[in-house]
Amino acid sequence: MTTSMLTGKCAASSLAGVVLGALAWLFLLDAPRGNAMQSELESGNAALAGVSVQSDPAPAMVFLNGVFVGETAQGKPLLVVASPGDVQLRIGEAGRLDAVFDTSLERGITRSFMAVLAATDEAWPVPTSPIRLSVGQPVRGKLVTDAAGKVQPLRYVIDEPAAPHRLLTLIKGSIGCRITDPEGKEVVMSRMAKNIEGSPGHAFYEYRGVGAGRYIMEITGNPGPFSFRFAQGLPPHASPDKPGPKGRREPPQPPGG
Amino acid sequence: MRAGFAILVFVALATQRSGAQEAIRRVGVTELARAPLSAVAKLGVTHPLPRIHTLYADGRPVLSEAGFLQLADEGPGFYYGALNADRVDYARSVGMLGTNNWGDVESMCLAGRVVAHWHHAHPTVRLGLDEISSRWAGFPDYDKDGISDHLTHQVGMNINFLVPCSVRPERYIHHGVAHEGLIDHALFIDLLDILMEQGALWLTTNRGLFSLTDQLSDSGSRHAWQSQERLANGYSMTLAIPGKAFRLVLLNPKGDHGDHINAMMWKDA
Repeated sequence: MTTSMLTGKCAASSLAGVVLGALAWLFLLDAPRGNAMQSELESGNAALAGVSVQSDPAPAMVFLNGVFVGETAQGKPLLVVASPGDVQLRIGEAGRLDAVFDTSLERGITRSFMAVLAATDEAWPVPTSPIRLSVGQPVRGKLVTDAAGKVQPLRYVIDEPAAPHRLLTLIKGSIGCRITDPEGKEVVMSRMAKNIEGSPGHAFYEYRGVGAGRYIMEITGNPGPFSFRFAQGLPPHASPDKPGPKGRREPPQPPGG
Repeated sequence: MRAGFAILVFVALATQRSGAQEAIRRVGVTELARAPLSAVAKLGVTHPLPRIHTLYADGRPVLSEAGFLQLADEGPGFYYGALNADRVDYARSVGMLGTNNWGDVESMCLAGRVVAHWHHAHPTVRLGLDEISSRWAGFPDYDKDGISDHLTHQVGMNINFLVPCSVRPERYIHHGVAHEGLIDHALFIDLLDILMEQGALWLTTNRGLFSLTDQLSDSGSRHAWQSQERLANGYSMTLAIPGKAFRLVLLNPKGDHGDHINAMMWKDA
């Protein structure tokens, strides 16, 4: 056995000792903390955070990371217990201003927010274009003119993960929309009803995409506020070569009502 | 040991988060307080009032692939119209149950307020909420001809409210077919008023449902109606409230639109 071999064995032993010591330290460290964690788990409070939302004067819808979680009541808060971390909180009253902000939920802490819902000019914001749409999202905006008096169109991005699909919008306001598919071609839309059952100012469009990818929806028209809803889907019975809705009609009724 | 490492990583991440700045992009929200999370709190949502849509056991709303909420079978002050005792067998036979009761979030919240006000005013009479949309948007094809059955009810914003009956509130009324003489006119007018007050942008129903077409202002309604406009398929009436876009459309009797009020739940700013 040479000196270098002895030195190597000693070094290996020392390294092993250090590793074992570190592991033992971590194990000892782990024990009390693990017990505390277990205790918190049993109390139902581990790694959770809370957010409480009230609104005034009207009830408000609350969305966490874009997902609807519930609605406040008059003077009564909605309590959401969620995982801690960065979240996007959206609080909105139907037909009025949405408040959207990024915040952070803290472990073991409930953060309480008050939303004051007031009808202001901001109820019709001029969004910066383009905006990415999510399904079911109510969209409100305002078309404005530039210095030369020309209407500035607003562009919305719709990312479609799959095909075939059908996209539906219900538009309110003196506007129209034009949609281009992922290949840049304009999508043929069917305008189902200019005045839906006698209600002026609304248009319901149905259109079918050619496949997955990014669609661009451009809103143009007269200056002023507008709003629209966007939905998508393909009912199980439908196929792209079938015509659209056939109109107001009741299914057959059972004899005698 | 893994737990030990997890704690170290968690502490490091938590430290990073605490340094993050909140970016408030719009005004209107202020933070009131920070308090310890209750020890009894579980992951989920606690709603301040009963909801009309379905919830998971932890209180989170059930959402479809299209982001729609599903009307629950029943709750305080309401029931799902397809489960009406007079037609549930038929509804089941055509595959209606659970396939036409999905709605847009905002519209369902507005409908929830209608139900809450109705329940407060008429605690013994349940309101029947019927067709809305399918879970993917659009509307099913119950007669199997390959075409969606409705022009409205496509985007989850049109909700049918069944007409109350005078002898048995939940008796199914179908104008021109059965029981049309048993409509409770007082409840019907009150339902119109509550719908308008709580968020319906416009309502469509059958003129033949009540004989008050030309005298709606004398019907017991809390609101003044005006400007009757003749349409190709009926009449249109508006409210004498400046800036209010609400509209009531009374379709000519056809025998196929008699059992409900089709309410488009979209609140004007």
